[in-house]
Amino acid sequence: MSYKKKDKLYFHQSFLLIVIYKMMTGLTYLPSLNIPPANQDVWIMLLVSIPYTMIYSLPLLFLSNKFCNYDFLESAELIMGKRLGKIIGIYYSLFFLTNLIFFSGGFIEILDASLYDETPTIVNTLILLFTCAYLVNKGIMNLVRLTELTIPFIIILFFILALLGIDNYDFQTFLPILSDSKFGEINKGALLTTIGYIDILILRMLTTYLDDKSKINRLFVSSLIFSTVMIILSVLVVQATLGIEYAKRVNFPYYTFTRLITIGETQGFDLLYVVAWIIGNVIKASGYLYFTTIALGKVTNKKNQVFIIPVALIATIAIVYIKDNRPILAVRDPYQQMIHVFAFIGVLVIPLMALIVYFFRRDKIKSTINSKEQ
Amino acid sequence: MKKKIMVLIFYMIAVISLTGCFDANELDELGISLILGFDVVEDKLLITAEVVDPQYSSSSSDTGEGSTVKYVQGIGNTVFEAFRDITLKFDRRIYAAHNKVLIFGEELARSGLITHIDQLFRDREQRESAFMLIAKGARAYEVMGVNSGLETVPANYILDLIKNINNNPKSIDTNIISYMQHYYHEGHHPIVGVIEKKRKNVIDKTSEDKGSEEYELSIIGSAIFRKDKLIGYLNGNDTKAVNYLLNNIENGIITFPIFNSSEEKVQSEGLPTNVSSVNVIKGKTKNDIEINGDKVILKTKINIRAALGELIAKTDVSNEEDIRRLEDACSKTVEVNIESAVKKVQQEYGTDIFGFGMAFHHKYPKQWEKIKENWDEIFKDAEFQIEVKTSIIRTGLINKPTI
Amino acid sequence: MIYKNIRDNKEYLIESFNYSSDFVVVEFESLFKISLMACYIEGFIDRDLFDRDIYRSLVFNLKKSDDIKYFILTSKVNEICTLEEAIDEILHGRLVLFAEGLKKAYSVDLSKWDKRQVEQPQSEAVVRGPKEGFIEDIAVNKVLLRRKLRNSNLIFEDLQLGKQTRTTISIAYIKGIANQEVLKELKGRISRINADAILESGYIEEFIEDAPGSILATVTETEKPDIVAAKLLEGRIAIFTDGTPHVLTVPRILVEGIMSSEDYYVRPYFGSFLRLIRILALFMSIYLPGVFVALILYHQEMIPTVLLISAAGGREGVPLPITIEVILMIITLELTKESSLRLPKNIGTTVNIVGALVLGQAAVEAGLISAVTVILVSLTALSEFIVPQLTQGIIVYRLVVTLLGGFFGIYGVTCAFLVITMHVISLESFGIPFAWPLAPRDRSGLKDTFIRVHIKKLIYRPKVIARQNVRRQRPPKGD
Repeated sequence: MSYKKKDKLYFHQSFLLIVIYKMMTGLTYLPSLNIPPANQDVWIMLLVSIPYTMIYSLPLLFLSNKFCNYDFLESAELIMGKRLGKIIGIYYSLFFLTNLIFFSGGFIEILDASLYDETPTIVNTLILLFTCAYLVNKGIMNLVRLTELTIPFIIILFFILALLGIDNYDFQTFLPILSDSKFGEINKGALLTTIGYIDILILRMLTTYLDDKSKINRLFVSSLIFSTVMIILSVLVVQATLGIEYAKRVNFPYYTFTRLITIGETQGFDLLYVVAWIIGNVIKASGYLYFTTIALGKVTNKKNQVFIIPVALIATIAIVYIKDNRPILAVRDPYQQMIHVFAFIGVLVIPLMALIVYFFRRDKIKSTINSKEQ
Repeated sequence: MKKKIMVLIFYMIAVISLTGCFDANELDELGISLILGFDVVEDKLLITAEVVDPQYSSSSSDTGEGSTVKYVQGIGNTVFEAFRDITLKFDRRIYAAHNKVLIFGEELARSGLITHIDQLFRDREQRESAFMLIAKGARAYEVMGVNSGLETVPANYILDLIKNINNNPKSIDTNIISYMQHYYHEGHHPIVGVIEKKRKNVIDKTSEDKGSEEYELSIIGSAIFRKDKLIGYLNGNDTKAVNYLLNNIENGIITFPIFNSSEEKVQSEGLPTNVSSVNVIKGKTKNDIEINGDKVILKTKINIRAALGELIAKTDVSNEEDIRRLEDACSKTVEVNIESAVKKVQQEYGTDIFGFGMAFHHKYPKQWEKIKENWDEIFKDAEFQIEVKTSIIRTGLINKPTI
Repeated sequence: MIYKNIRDNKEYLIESFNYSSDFVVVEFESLFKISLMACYIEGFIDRDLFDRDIYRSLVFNLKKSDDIKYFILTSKVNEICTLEEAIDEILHGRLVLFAEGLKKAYSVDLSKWDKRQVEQPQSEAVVRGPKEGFIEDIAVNKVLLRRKLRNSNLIFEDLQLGKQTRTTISIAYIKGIANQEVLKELKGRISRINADAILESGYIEEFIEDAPGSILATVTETEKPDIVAAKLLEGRIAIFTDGTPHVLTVPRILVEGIMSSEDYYVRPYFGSFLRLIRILALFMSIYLPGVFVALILYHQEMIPTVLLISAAGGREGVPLPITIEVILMIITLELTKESSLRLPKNIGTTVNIVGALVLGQAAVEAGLISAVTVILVSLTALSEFIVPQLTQGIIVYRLVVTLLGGFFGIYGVTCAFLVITMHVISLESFGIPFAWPLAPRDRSGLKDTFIRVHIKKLIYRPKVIARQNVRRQRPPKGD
């Protein structure tokens, strides 16, 4: 029944799928609030982080452009050789798996803390991962279609909520600009923000499906800017409503912000937020699950569907194990650092190595590509 | 197909075997509380909750007999413990998510608020938008339960009083979140509305139950905090001055003397003459700081747009010159009032509740770093300058006064 | 083959029809001693016409068997050469004439049987627009369509399906507009049907649909010729089935469920408004009970205080948990609906009154259910009737969502929403994405989805369906 099927992602589809990764962080726990300078200049720090992020992602972006017809594993095998390529593949599947686990863990934690404090972790986790499993089972095409159907509504809702909360804003909070924080602090914060950036990996995973491969750079830049602007907006509304110090103490600032919205006697706008937030996060988790399985599938030369249920089960067990010991988001330290190190290696170290090797073996790789294409 | 069935089966297992419902609360298991009162009694926390009896809404035909709310109390070392204490005395779980107002007894407020109400922020049920009130010279539960309004639920009576602050800014509507904002900011101490139980004249002699009808509540005035400790009260007019400085004025009345010549004076006996009242339509305040050598000058500029509401003087308002005189008199009164309020706060309490510290911070961020620890000392001795400009933009239905 | 001897033919035919009593053989002789035999099925043909145009003419005039065709005084005459063909013709309501000594027979179309009048279909009543609907007779249905599309490119392709029923099926499409890939695929799928019986178009639907396991149908069904015409003009293909007024069109997309032919006949603003209302109704009818249960059970903080207190007042003393209460009400609603549908009209009204009275007032007054639930479920029912095309899917989804809402609150409802949406998106109807133009998004398609823009501006047919001749009309001058 596939006489017309065309597995191509359009620009806006991939854009939305990439954007949601950072945007949902903003709607969830806004780590930027506590990153130095951690005062009214956070938004400047975020703006500064854009060029840093661009430089940081350069190696991977270059590789994505160069090998846009090959997925990450094929390109790794081309550059580094078969064996090393496999190891890199395993690394990335583990990387996405850990991200899946910690991200879902954080999601479950917020659910527990803000909506369901008595429901056991395992129940929430099972519901999440089986929803994700169903979504992933339908394949990337349907996943991005779901994204392009739902995410615009989330973005619109984001703006509507920002407008509705306008009564609570105290713009005095943002004064004085750029005088309480030192130049070094802002840069330090920008660097820390940059290290947390992994959207470029998502982009790399999607490049092979892209409809128009010449737009990779545009996709990267526009998604980075858009998601950063969304984060900035959420930082602004949260700080204007909660005040800078209290916002730092709140675990889920955006949720608190929506709880405070009242129009006359009407409250309960947090319901809208919660629905949007669950949708966004389930899609995000599905993305992680998809990339994990696809990476595993590439390494083992099997269809990715085989791995969906096992990976989901492993993730469930891991989440329950970790979560029932200690909160992940409220007590961030060991796990957050681990994730950062993982991301740093995945986004910068490995691509940089690949890049160096690529420049040494350029001719050989080119001839392999040519022979493959023929 | 097989996979789909697999996923479905897992779903079903999840649904059926784990049968959910962990957090489910049927409505008839909840006691919806609308007001919470916090007190210190014998070194323990006492919580009083006003719980709505939902049946009143369904049986509207009944003639208001029986009360619409019930009061329950719990005691404990912490707020959480006190809440749990209620469970063994009251049949329903106290559901706090719809709290509109939190009332704190004076004793608790003096011993420090934030120290003890961490639970209100940590618990998912509590709303950060609830208003705060301090029971002046009383325990919280003493002011609860008075309902001399028309609302059937006492909580709504208090809530409506708070909403009326918009029309008469002699009090202040602080909710938890704005309290917290000021609490954390060095240059701005929190200020919270007060609530008092007052005897009232019984006019309706036919009424049978006079018990609670003899009292009414009043929320005029405000309570001044240093960080989280209550240190004193301001009266209604001073609170109004604070509201001016905090840029909180959206409505409200200014009454001021108006003289046509220097000989005229406000009569010392009887009803005053030569006075006028205007209704503020919009007030805009700009606080500023100036450093003059090592002296700090607090500066305030207020622009008021007002509508003439009452004029008991022989002033012809159809005349440009007279109306300017009116405006100047109004400005003068506001200036005097605010000045006296600031002076009073500076001398009696020495805490910056007006947010001049923030203005300092915005203007001189470098110096602020050095002095923010002892800003209150500086504030205490600072000079205060005020400039008010009034423009009367409406004169009502008549032009020349009736006298 | 056909025997020269009439008697042999007769025996063969009677044998073939197993002595069935409605199979009639009329043997007669012309004045010139030529034996003739007419076979038909009782009630299928017009006896008067037979007497006048065939019997009399033949009896008086036939001199030689070979001349028989000159004396059959009707135009619809076919020559047939085998007895199998003869049986087939007889089964389709024609009369077959045999003459002594001829190795062929003639089938004469004198068919006439009782048909329903063309009238307004009950399930698709409209205020503005044509009121005629299809009937059970395929020939009439074709005419009804042809009268909407007087176009030589409108093609009907007939075939017969069903080993036992031998039902006539007709595939209709407009050459040059219809999607060729879909047409090919459809013909392939129909040719693969190996069914015993085709009693209604529903049988065909289940044989040709893409996702048999899906709750939503991927084939559209309608009773109105103007709708079929519009769909053909969008590049779709219709399947007529003899014996049913329900005509199928493929491929189907989701938004057809919220469209009505009337949208195009009224003012665009009103049409768009109706669309939005229907979308709201669609969401409400699926999610309202679930969200309600979730809010009441888990997220009381999100309900406005006044509403919560009155809801709590209503719940006071109700013995059932809210989830069960809502599900019971939904089931009761279906009971009432079903019972009033199947009953004669005047009794149906009684059932309605009893239902409304018993369910609504009495139950609330007895304290068995809360008033809020009644209001809510009635609202749901109202919404459901606004989108009749999707009702079958809605009911299942609604129950699932309500259950999940009862078990897991808004989290369950949202996950259910995602799964349902994903299911809808992943559906395909003959290779066309079911959720087009929402996912994948298509701006030109969106002009006719949530809103219906001015007809002048609907320049293109749905691009994903009509692959050729996509432009409907020139854009209006000056735009």
